[in-house]
Amino acid sequence: MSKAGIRVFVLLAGMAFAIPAMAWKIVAEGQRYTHKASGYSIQYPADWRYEKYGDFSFATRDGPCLQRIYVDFRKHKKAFRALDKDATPEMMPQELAEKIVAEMEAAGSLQNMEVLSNEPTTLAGRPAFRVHVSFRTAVDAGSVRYEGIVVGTNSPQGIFLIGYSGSVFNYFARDVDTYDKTLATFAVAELKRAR
Amino acid sequence: MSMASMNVIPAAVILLALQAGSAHALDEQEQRARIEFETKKGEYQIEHSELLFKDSELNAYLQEVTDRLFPDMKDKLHVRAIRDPNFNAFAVATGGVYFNTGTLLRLDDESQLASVLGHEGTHYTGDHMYRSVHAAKSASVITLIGGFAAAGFGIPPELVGLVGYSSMMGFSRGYEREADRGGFDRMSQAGYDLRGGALAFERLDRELTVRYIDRGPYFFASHPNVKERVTNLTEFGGESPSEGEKDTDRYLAVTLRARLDALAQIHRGGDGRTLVFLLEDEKLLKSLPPESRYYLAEGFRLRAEKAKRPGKDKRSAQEIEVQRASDAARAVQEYELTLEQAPEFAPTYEALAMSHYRSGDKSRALELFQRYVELNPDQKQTGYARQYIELLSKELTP
Repeated sequence: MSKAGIRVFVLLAGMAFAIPAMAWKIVAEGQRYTHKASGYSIQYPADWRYEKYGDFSFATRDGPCLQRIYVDFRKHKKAFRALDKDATPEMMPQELAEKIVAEMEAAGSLQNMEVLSNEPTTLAGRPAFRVHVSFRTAVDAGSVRYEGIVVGTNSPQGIFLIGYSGSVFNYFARDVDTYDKTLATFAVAELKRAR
Repeated sequence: MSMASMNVIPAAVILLALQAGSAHALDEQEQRARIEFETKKGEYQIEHSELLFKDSELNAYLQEVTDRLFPDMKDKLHVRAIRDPNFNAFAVATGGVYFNTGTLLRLDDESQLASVLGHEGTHYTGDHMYRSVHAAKSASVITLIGGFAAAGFGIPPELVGLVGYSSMMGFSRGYEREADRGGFDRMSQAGYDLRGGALAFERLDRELTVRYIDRGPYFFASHPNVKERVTNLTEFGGESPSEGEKDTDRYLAVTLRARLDALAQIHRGGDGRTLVFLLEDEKLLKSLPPESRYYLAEGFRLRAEKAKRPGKDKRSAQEIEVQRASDAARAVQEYELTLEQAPEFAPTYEALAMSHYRSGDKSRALELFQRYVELNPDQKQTGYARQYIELLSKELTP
């Protein structure tokens, strides 16, 4: 699988084995995680464990294969690696959503992927998209049914994707409200210049 | 999947198959019972899946054509339409024949339909399922290897169990030629135009070339097999030239819903190359409602967006860029033509609005987004258009 494919797979299906060993940290009440390079900050749910990996950070309560909330910041250049496409600061949410869906389809590791909804929303006061998908992992990865939501917005510095995915069995529906509350804490500081 | 694991799996499958096969040699009765059991199990899965295309008029029509071809097999051959945009049809040992909506989309008339049904029906009357399993010595080998092949090719999971017990992935060349001959003779006896089969497979041959497909998921999606069908059917046609029935009008009327559904599935799959190949054929486009031209425009748009060199494309990067620009321009032309021919069809307005938005003609984009929202009362579907209208209205207000 390509690096880009792995990235989509890791983000959506939470396959932790693809990520190097991590030292999980516990989120304290009211603690915000800030990514200085892109200017975003988010308050992951208290008592969840969180970790960062390059330009994305993520948190989980029971384990990354069961449920996770993540933030993926992508610079416009090569924003959609699996498609070999760039983004531009002018791209509207609908165009970003189409590319994100195409990227998931191109990853090839998500089976029976279905877009359950794709609609506009706002994120940190910016026009955004919200895509809700369902899929299964491949047979040799257990054929586990997942659902995932990605909310994304554009900015001069790059694209912000705040996602949530969880196993349909027991986890996804249970923690979707927590995800929505986490989304509401997401903020982007205006950077002086695009990086 | 890594290359290493891909190499390991076939070896494991063959080992398992050999172990299963060596356990007990089945006599004919046992083997037939086993084939019937596995086939019924597979058919039960199809019956309880979303794969069947539920259209009683279409299914009755497919059955009527089959009964006309096989009057001696009434109540033994049962045809059902399957919701799949690929060109395929297959027969199983219980007499079930499954016919893809994607095949209906690619045929012009009843004589072409009869050629495929005749071929598949002959696999059943010729007892090819049993004879193939028997020749392979072990039904386990068939199931395992068939299942592995299906998994590798991306056949829907509901059909995987039937791969080894059906004509889905083809039989030996001898049996396929027998099916071509048998189907051809049945067409002749039923009074159909005998050129139908060769014409249908010639078009499929061209499609496979354009899509750079050499070996696809099904028997009919593999290029050498299709070429062989054309050769056989042309040869048989040469022996007995005749002009028989085509019944184009009835075919096009009864299959319309299924053909539109297959087209929408190809569109949802983002396959611009196939959309363009199919719909540049004015004959097919004319057989569909006027708004179907939208899919041709979408085909050009998708092909332009995905323009990069597939493995077997020998063109230079410059030639590909010229093609991309031409496709993008042709998409706009086709959207405009769709607006003229089907002015109440909302999706065209949104697609054309996006095209103008991207090219910088924002006032035309705003006008088209507004018309799209007027024509489409569904708030959820028009959410993004409303987002554009809000943005463009602010931007264009002096």
